[in-house]
Amino acid sequence: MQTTTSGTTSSKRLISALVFVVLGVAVVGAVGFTLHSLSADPQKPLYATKSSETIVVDGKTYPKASATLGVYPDKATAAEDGYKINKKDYVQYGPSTHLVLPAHTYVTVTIHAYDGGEQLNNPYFGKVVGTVGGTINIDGVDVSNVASDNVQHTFTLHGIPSTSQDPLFVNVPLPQVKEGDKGFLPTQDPGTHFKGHTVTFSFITGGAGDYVWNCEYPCGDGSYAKFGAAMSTYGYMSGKVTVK
Amino acid sequence: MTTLHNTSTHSRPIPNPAKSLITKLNMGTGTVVGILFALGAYYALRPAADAANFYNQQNKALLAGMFAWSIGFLVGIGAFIGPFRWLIGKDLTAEEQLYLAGDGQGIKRYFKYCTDHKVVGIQYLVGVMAMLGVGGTMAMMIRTSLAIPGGHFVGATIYNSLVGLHGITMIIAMIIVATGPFGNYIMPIMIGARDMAFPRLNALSWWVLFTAIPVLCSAWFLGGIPTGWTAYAPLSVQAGPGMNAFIATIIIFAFSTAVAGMNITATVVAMRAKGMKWNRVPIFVIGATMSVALAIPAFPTFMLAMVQTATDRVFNTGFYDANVGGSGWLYAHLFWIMGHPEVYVILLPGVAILMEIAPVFVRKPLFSFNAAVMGFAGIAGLSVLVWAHHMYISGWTPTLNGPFMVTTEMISVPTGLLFLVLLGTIWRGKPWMKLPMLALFAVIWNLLIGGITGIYLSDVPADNYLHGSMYVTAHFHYTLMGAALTGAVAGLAYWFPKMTGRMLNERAGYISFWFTQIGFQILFLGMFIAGAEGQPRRVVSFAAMYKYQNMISTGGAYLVGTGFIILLWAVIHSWRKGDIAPQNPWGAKTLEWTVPYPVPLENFDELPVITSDPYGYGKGN
Repeated sequence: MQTTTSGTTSSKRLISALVFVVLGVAVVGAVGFTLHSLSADPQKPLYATKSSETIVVDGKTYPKASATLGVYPDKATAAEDGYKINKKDYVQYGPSTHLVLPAHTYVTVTIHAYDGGEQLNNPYFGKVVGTVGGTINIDGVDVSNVASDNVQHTFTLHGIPSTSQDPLFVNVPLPQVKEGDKGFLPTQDPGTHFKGHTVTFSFITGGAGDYVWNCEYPCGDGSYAKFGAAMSTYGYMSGKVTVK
Repeated sequence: MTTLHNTSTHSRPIPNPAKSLITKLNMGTGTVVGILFALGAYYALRPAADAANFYNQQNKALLAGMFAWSIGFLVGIGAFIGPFRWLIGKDLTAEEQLYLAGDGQGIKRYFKYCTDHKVVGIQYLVGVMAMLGVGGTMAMMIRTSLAIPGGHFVGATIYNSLVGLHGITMIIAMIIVATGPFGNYIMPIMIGARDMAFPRLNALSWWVLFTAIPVLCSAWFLGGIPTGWTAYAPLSVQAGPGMNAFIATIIIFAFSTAVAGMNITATVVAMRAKGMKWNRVPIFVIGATMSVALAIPAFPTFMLAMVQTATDRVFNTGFYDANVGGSGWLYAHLFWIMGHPEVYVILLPGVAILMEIAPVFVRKPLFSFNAAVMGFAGIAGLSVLVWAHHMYISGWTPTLNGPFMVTTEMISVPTGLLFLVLLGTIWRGKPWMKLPMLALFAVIWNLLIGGITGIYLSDVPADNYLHGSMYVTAHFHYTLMGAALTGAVAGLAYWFPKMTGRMLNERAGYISFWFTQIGFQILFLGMFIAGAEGQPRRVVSFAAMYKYQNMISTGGAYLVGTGFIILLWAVIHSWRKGDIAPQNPWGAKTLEWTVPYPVPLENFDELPVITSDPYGYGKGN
């Protein structure tokens, strides 16, 4: 066995080198999995409820599915709707911002919207885009646009850039709850949150794919020009849509 | 080592160093005092939760806490004892100065405010390796996340912070990777000096830099850095509390580099051995001095940019806020006036190391010392006139794009001189293919790729297409990592025997070299292709059309990571148990190889007198 001048045998040296490399890889791996777990989605996905009914749109027949969301000014208001998720006290969507939708389906989403608002940075997001008929239904009335100074939040669904999945872009502006309008009425008693607005819309999913959505109204804290906190933390005013 | 006073004329009794305060201070006391200072400053300025301008006040408290940590640490480690004693008329005694120089303290001196340039060199070496390890780990996270489209191994927010923190950690590490360890340990011996011109400032430069490391790490716990290492305003002005850590780090680091730069420059100008005329100065010393001299004007602009970012965040001064008459371009200018010279601050010492190595391993004189100096000087001069090529597409004064394109492309000329010197030196030589020489060939290849691809980015029409893409990322990694870092690794392999007294394990070094260099080509050639096809940099998601390019790049990254882990093992193992090195294992002619290991406190028993240039191989001298 070869021995170096400092007395270390070559086999010991090889073993120590291999152990060191394994340890190095383990350290890097441990850091990676720590960051991976920190950024893991803490929410359970919200699966759309499939219906046995079908609907014909533009001569094609689609199965139907539906999902219901809420958007709340804070954690307490979300809890009143039974959404006791371990979230911070930010403005937030609930019960989950990860939606799982069936492919090639007519999906109807209902959003109960309870927040106020100010002014959109970009009036474009006041327009309804990508829904069936180009409209949304607000408290029973079909509209195709909400004034940019009357939007509380938006549900804006984008595709992750990819050539391997069908495009999907939906923009739904949610109207503000203002003093004096019917959304301002308390639901049960004055101690509870207001009735809010009920917004319903439908869109048709394509093939399987991963998409992201977010609110385009800057409703975060004072950092990043109100794009901080809720706006820049996954699971509050942004999420993903898995079509499968 | 500091100059010793003639104690026989001292009118006061000489205190026993064992009872002096300086003997009780170390990294531990520095840390305790630093934390106390930081907590005191933070809690004194911490805003109430319902304060009207909560974010301004929070920024103020955090910044104050970070700077207080740095000052407190320096107080606690004893950095100000010398100046304070001088101020009150009780200057340090000879014994105390000897103690500060680390005389007879063994390993403890590495954890103290030690003025010996060799100790500072080792502190820089270990610190740089730690920073490269952290930055490299972050790089592995980035590449893992980019392995497949929509892979999202880490979330988007963490990814953004990884990109920014990887960038700034590596930039800081690379700026000091050669001038820190070798500029401090080797350079004074190379020029025949007993120590640096200002030994206390030398220690100060390291420990100030050291205080920046926890500050930068704190960004992880304050929400991260969402801006990338460029920290463009106004995003950096609006960003969350983690941004304060970035700002404080840059200001502290800029102070450290200014101190180190002035000290190295003064040492080379004033402390060369008798007979060491400028044309007899080793080329590494020339390159390192050009580098730090270039850093002296460059970094204060970055510091200023960060000071203004801080005042925008704390006092709403609006330097970069167009709403109140500020300008985002102002930040871009200040940043890039530092940013482009900075790449040469990094590159020059790496190339200079190779010029030092080439004559030794081919046993030929350096091919045209004057051309090498002109190359360094030309790069240093032109590099302060090229910054706006980073702003071609920003909309700032398009009529100046042409002139900046010309200055940028002109820098190819002095760079070509450096190639000429390297190639001329090894031309028709018989290289002794040890690890430093292998690295030299790798650098020639990598710098060639980095240089040629840079020409396309300097060209306005091509840059319109390529800017902001992975092509840019691949390009600057070829120059900074492929050339400068590989050059520094060559320096480590070359001077390891002098710095540790042992030989670097050669077999492990070879294995590491091939892993890193093959992995490097796979990693960044794949990135060039993805970038040329349009994949944007700094974005966590990418289109499926870039799938294979990214998969290949990530595979290459794992090879590089494995190679560096092997190198780290080689360094640690060799340092502890490597073969004992002879005094001059390479048969080199520069002065550092004339002193034994361990190098005596004052380096030389008698200061040398220089009678020839250090590259007279084959000349019989």
